[in-house]
Amino acid sequence: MSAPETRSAGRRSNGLWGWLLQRVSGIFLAYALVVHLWTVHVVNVDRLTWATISARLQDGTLWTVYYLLFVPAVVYHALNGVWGIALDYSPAPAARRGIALALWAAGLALLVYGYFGLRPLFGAGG
Amino acid sequence: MAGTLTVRIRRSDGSGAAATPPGPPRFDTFRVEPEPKMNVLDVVAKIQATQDPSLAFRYSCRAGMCGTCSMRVNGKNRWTCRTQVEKLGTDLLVIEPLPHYPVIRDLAVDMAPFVESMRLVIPQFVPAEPGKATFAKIGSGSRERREIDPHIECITCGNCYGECSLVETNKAYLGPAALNRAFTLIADSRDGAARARLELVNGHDGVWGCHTQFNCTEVCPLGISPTRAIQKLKRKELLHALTPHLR
Repeated sequence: MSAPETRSAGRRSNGLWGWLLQRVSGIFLAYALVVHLWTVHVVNVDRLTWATISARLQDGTLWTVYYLLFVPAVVYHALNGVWGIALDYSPAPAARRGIALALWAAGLALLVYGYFGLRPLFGAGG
Repeated sequence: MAGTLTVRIRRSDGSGAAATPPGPPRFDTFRVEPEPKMNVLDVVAKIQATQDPSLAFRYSCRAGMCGTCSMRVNGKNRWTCRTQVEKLGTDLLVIEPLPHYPVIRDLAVDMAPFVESMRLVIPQFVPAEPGKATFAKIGSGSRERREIDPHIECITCGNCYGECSLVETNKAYLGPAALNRAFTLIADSRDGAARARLELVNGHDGVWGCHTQFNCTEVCPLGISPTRAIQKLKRKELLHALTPHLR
């Protein structure tokens, strides 16, 4: 039996900006994924090498911006989606904090990993 | 109608405590001779009158105005007084109480969670100008009227709350009907509590919890789309965040 007095009118943490960014990143990814798949699997079949990709990343054109936005957008969109699913199950405050911490840690780890993965392609170290 | 109806009704005393009938939920099977234009509520009432007087269910108006007779029939929440058996196209009826509500007994559920959700969104009109003797009129052809009208006829039957998969996993979620009601008032320029309501529904237990699955829209007997109302609320929340000085 529900106990009305245990519910309050105050809603748990606002989800407006997460909702908006999920859509913004989703729209970007819808475009970026098509470009990525088209570039890799249609127009450049058997022509992509370390050198061509590295040159493309260092040419300072929109390709650089494209790849630098692609990875964070994927990471944000995926982990924010997982966060939304977690909230659907109404976790207790402690579990909620734990899930948020784990997702932040996973996101940062993926970004750092991605950064170190891209460095050689940009001509740094490697 | 082809032949005798087979009616399987989920029975429960709701609490597990000694009651009639005792024990955990179970399905009892009844045979009912159909009559022309018989609706599902007629079937349940006939079973209670002729076969099992202990069968518990609830109804009031029998005219599609109150929604209290809502039950889950063949896997879908319906207002049973307006659900004709022959239109279901089957001789087998499986009747259960509405999901997501505490069961009082058999097909009668406790509407408290639904009512409480409604209460939380300030469901009553709050005049923006309390001292004024008359309300401003919103023209029938105005954009405001056209935005509100498709959402105004809710009879609070609770079918949507019982069908919403978000309510299934998150009991704090306000649910479709309450958010739909909030929308009709927030969109009303004569109402003075729009900001308060926008704050109340701004959270994952409110508008941001909706995944736009349209389950609520699918079962609304009045053809209202709470999903659409919630999407409109999301846009209003965004506008409110970007322009907080405006209403």
